[in-house]
Amino acid sequence: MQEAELVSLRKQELKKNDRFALLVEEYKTKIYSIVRKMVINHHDADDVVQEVFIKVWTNLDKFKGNSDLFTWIYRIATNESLQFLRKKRKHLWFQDLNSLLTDQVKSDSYLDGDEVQKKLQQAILQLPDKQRMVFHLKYYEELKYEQIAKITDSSIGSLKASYHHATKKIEKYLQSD
Amino acid sequence: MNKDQKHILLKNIPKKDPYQVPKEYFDSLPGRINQRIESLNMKPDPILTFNWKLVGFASAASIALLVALLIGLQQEPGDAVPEDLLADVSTADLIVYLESSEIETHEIMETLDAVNWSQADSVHLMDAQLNKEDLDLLYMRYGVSTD
Repeated sequence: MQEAELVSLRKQELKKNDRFALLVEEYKTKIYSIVRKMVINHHDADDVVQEVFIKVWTNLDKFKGNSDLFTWIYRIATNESLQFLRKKRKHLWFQDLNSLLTDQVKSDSYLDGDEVQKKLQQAILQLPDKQRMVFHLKYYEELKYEQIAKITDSSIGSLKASYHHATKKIEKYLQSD
Repeated sequence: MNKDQKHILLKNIPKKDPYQVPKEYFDSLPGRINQRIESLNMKPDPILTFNWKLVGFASAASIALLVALLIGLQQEPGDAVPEDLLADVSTADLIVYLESSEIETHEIMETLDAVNWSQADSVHLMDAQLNKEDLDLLYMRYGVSTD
């Protein structure tokens, strides 16, 4: 569904429930995808995705359209994912979260069995959370830097630098034993 | 790992989402989201309740403070020092009292700590400068003959 269509639905004065249902239908797969890549575990991803859409519901009437709907929802999703990881990290006293997530990638039954893909995911997990998020939005979601800048509230220049460094780190990891 | 795998470049890796989704997950997701929203909407409004323990402690403390204040206010001031009391009485009033109370001279003297009187004190007394008229008056008053 195009952004314009969604906007026109608003103009048709659809009830909030109907608008929300359409939004969930439109964005559930994309939101799950980005969240899952960040939190790795399916059940954690499910929790975060639900939180994202509850926030969308709660703030839908307040959304004034000063940014596009897509940016707004993605921003909620990225913030919720990063917040989830922050909270999880706090609860792990002596464990490194990234190591834990790497172990989950190795053992996750829902992960594609391709060894190269697994190694790629492990490589990505070496990145700091925010850099990892930028990498996913650029590499997997194939968003433009302008869009990522609005979602993450960062400058385009810093995003380009971040992505460049991320790819170098990943390739270095992939080339290691 | 063989040589080929050592030179893996990102651009050479097929771009695919490696994470599989459980079957029917997306079908059930909207329903579960709606259920959570409904449960949030159904939460009752917070009811203001008194913490009776806290109210009890506060009341007891207030009463104790009030009692302490009342006790403090009712307490009489300590006895004033006799010298301070006497200082408030004028000389004229003292003379009138002494005249009316029929106290003899020797009785007044007995109240004084004559033992501690030194020669110097006596000299001071002797040096008291009374004029002749005052002396005569004193003599007449106390029946002292000058002869």
